[in-house]
Amino acid sequence: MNLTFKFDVGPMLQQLAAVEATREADLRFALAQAAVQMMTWMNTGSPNEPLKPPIRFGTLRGSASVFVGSKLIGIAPSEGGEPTPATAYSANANIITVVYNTSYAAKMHEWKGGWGKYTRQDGSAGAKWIEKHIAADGPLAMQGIAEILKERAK
Amino acid sequence: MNYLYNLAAFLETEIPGLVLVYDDFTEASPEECTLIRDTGGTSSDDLDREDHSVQCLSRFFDKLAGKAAIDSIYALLRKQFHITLPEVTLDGVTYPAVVAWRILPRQTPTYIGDDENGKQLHSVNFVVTIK
Repeated sequence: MNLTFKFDVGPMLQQLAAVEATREADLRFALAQAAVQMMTWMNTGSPNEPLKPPIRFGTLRGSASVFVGSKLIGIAPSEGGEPTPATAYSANANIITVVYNTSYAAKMHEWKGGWGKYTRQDGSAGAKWIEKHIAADGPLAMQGIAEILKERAK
Repeated sequence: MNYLYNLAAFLETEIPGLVLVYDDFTEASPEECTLIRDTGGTSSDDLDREDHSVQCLSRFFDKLAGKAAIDSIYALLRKQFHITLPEVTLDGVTYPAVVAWRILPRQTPTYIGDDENGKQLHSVNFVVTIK
């Protein structure tokens, strides 16, 4: 005598696929939130790290933009000068990239001299602002992503 | 934990002819040299681990000479794990040898333009993990 049980996993897989799609959308949302927050902290300073980019005319700060993967998420508000923020970039889907798209951005980040009077007038402006914010704020941004995912999973 | 002067001693031993200055270019610095400085880092609350950020910045009148200097540092440090940075004495102060668990470049060497005297600047950064 045969005893046969049939268990149709189709509906369950459909639900799992739906959950997976929802979680993927939640992740995109959380990464975008963290991305904009990181760019803002880098340009304006954060509670953990007050450092800001050097300033002459506002071009450098206004040339910041941020991507999640290859998707443009945000552009820094203009502070004058002639900003040229990047609008296209290519990266892995889960990478947050902050771009300062000026010819002298690397020099300003790596060197401590030649900034001009506006830098000196603006407190906490100076080199290494990206590195220091990644070190100081990176863990907090990761925690924020986790909190958003937890909240949206309820 | 100090490590910077030990790292500098390691570089000077392994790269003959490399001229290093510490922390900042000053009037006493040679015209052509490479700066090594600590740019901060992070420590662990729970472990002994410390991740130090180090910048090497070369300034040379000749761009290729500057690139060669910074490239030699990058080539030496980019795949170093668990190496002993030797003891060194500076101004009568002895800094004991320290073990670097890992030295990780943040990027490849970068040309960043010239300074006010027309010297060409190249920069590269590392994370030096001590624990």
